[in-house]
Amino acid sequence: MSLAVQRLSREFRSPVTTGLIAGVLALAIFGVVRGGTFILVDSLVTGAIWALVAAGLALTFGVMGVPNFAQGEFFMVGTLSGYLVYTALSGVQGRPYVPFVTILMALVVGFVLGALVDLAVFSQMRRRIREGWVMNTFVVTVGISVVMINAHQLIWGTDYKGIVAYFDGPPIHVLGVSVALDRVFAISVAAVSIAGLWWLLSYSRIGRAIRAVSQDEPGALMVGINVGRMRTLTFAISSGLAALAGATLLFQFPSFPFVGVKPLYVAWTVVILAGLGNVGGAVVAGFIIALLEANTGFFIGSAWEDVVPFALIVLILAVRPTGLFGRAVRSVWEQ
Amino acid sequence: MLRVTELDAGYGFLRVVHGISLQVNQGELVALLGPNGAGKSTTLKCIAGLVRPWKGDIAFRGHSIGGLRGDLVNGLGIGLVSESLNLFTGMTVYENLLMGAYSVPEAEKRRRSLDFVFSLFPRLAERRPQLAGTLSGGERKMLAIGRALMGGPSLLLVDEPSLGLAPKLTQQVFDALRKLSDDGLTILLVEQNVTATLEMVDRAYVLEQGEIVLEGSAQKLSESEHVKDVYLGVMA
Amino acid sequence: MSRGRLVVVALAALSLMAVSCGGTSGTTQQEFKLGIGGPYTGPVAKTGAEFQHAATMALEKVNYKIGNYKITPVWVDEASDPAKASSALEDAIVGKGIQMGCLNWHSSDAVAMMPVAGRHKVPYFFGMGATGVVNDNFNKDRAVNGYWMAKGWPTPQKLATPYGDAIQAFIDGGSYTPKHGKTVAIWGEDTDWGHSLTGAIKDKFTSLGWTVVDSQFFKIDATDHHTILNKFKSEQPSIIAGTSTAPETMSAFIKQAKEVGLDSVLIADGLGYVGDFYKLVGSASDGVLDMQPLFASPAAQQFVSTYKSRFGSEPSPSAAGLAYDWTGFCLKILKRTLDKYGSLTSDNIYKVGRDELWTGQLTYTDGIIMNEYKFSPDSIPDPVIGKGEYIFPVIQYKGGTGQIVFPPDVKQTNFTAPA
Repeated sequence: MSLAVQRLSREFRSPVTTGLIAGVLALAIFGVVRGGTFILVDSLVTGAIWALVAAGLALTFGVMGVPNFAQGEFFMVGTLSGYLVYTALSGVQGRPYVPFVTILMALVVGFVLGALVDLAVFSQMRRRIREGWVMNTFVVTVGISVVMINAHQLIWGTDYKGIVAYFDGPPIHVLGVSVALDRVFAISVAAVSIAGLWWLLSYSRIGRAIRAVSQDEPGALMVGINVGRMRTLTFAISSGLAALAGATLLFQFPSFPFVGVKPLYVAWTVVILAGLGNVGGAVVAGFIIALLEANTGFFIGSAWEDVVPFALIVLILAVRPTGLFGRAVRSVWEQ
Repeated sequence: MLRVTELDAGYGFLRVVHGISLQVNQGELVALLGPNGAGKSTTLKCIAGLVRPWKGDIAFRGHSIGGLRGDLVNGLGIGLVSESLNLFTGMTVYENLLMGAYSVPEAEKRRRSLDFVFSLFPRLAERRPQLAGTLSGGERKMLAIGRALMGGPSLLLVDEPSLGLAPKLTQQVFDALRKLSDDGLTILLVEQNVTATLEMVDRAYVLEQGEIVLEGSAQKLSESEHVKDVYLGVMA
Repeated sequence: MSRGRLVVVALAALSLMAVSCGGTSGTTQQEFKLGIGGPYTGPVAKTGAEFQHAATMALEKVNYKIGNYKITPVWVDEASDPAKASSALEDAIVGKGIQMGCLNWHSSDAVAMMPVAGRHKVPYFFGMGATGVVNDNFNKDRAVNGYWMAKGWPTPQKLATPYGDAIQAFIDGGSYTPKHGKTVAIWGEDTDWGHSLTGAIKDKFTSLGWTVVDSQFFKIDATDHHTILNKFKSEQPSIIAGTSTAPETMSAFIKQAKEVGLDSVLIADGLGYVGDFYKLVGSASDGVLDMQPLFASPAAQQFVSTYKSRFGSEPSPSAAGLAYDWTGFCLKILKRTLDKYGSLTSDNIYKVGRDELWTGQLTYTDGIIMNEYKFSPDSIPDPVIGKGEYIFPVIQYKGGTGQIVFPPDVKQTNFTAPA
């Protein structure tokens, strides 16, 4: 806990960050007063999900130096495995545990697939490539993404494989806003997962080892950490989180080959805003982006939802190239 | 305990270490002396598994460890304090020490190591919740040594402990190393600070341009003409 | 044997082989390559798949044969991207040698493909890109763009007017009373299609004395519409009317409209494009109004069951159904060309299109969706719209199936207002 406090107090020393956080709060208040409480509620729900997808992306970059442009396809894998598991359990649908089984299975599938991809691709690359790691892995992740999209199209076709809802009941009311049970489910899953990730990275032996690899790779070797295994684990966790997000959002993102494009796009926006490789920052930035989207959608028009966050990113990077909560933009590999 | 035979190593096309051989016996405090760029650090990194040797053999307790991955070497009981320290700057002092005991499964053993490190460097105990990146140079050095000790090594490799430290702090660090050695820990030390080092160690090797040019007891080396001319000359 | 003789013998052998080959080809069929456009990859690849399946079924119906010609389909992938669409067509014409094109989906792609067809003088029929831009280009430079012979889908303005008329008829007939006066809010995807269709709806409602309280457009892949819908909720329109062509976007919009608790009548033009939308939308689609051709006739029902058993998915009338009919019409044009001129060349096909299709002499009545597909000098490039010809009825969904509620002469059930 003291660690978090130290970090926060360091962040607040920067006038840019302080100004921005004040701006975000002002935006939230403005949105609620002029628009309605739904702006706040919707931003929280959407932000939690973006945070979940973006956290994995930030982790992969921070620990492995891999700018993962296949993250959206792991989201797609999540929607697909979610769909397949859920329809396979059609006999017992309606039982409250079914959605949980579904998303856990998706998490496992994403985790295992991520581990396999790392072992088959990045582990091999690490043995051979010494220079241009970030650029090379970027190209490779784009390749992986194309392969996964086409594999989906070949095997499962282009149909929209979706569900109506995980939970049937009427929406609940929060601050006068009606929120479908599925979205309550989604925000709960996101909150639990982010808390779990935070605990894992902060307090568990493995989480500390992952952070150690991201902070100092020779140092990690020197204390006996199997660096390769930690990287595989990191990619697996990140892929698992993306798949978990995909399965959780199946009611809003029916599975089809290109379903990962939008989440990938948003996740990168979030991660660039937060500062590459900064997991905690990505969580905060996820909410900021969601709040911006909601306000833009309400006051300017939905078609501008992506424009405003991007304009903001350009502005922020011009003032502060390392992102909002930036450490130096560098990968572990090329320090 | 440690025997290096005919070791060749380097980076890319550049060979830095030319067929050096050295030996460290159980309980000894041995120094590897020499000017900048002589290949001292590379030798240590080879032993610790951070750099792959090109040729030659490294044996620890009779088993060959040449080319073994760093984390596995650490697991055999060899701790390294590197020149750049390689601390986890985003973690607290306490977390860094905990990471040092990463391969130690027994909680009781970890706790005893921690007590020992805090008794050796009381300063670290005061700085326990502070981020390693915010420590002073001397404190960092202590933390790096403390972290290496947390794994309970039987051989400690220390690279340039005096680098960047004021003489008073250097002395503190050297005292700590001497104390560890007196307690029975085997230490191989790399240093440029020849005078202070020779006062403390049992034995030393002098490495120049990748080759060992002199070896012997600390006393013998202090009296050597070569050492006097090249290393102690300025001071004399 | 001297070297000279060897060469002579070899040449003789070769020429014999050539003659014998030529001889065989004379007795077998000639090949005719028919380009069939569609979004086979990209965001609406699902629609592309329906195109491909339906066109295949139409080709199989004639056994891939028109007279002596073997018809080989060449799939022209417009990929929902004008640049890719035009280069795909260029490649199909220059590289693969198609002499006629059929079908397309997006208006923006159609606009990019038109000049390619014109430049190579390859007639292209029944592109479904519907917006007025296609008509404008057609009329502006008919010598070139006239090779984009005829549209498979009329301009939305002409099609969308029934919504306003239908609501007016419900009010007049006493089956509906607007909850918040004559107020309507417009929503749609931020594309050519979205703007022109909703523009037509808006104009119609305005002309009937309705007030448009808001217009909101969103990106084609947006699946979070809570902001728009909550805004609509605060504005309390009696009707919200709009369109999207992306299934995930459309289904999310309808589900979320129910979630936020809107009590307006929901017009979701294009929901029926998604063949099995009920699996995505569920009961939230109950009461939604749409304009859709339906698989009504026995022949259409037969088509549906064959399609389902072969491809394992539900065809939609507006994609698979129309693609099937228009491909059938293309084949009829080929037949007519062969009968009239004796050979299938781009030039002959173009002449049949110009002289017989545009004049309304050549029509198609073997379709499964419309009674008669017909063009006239006044209508081109659009088909003739009207009862007995090209018409989309207004339907209301319940339990995943649509029933016609307007126009009155073909209605299957009465309109039910939301509770």
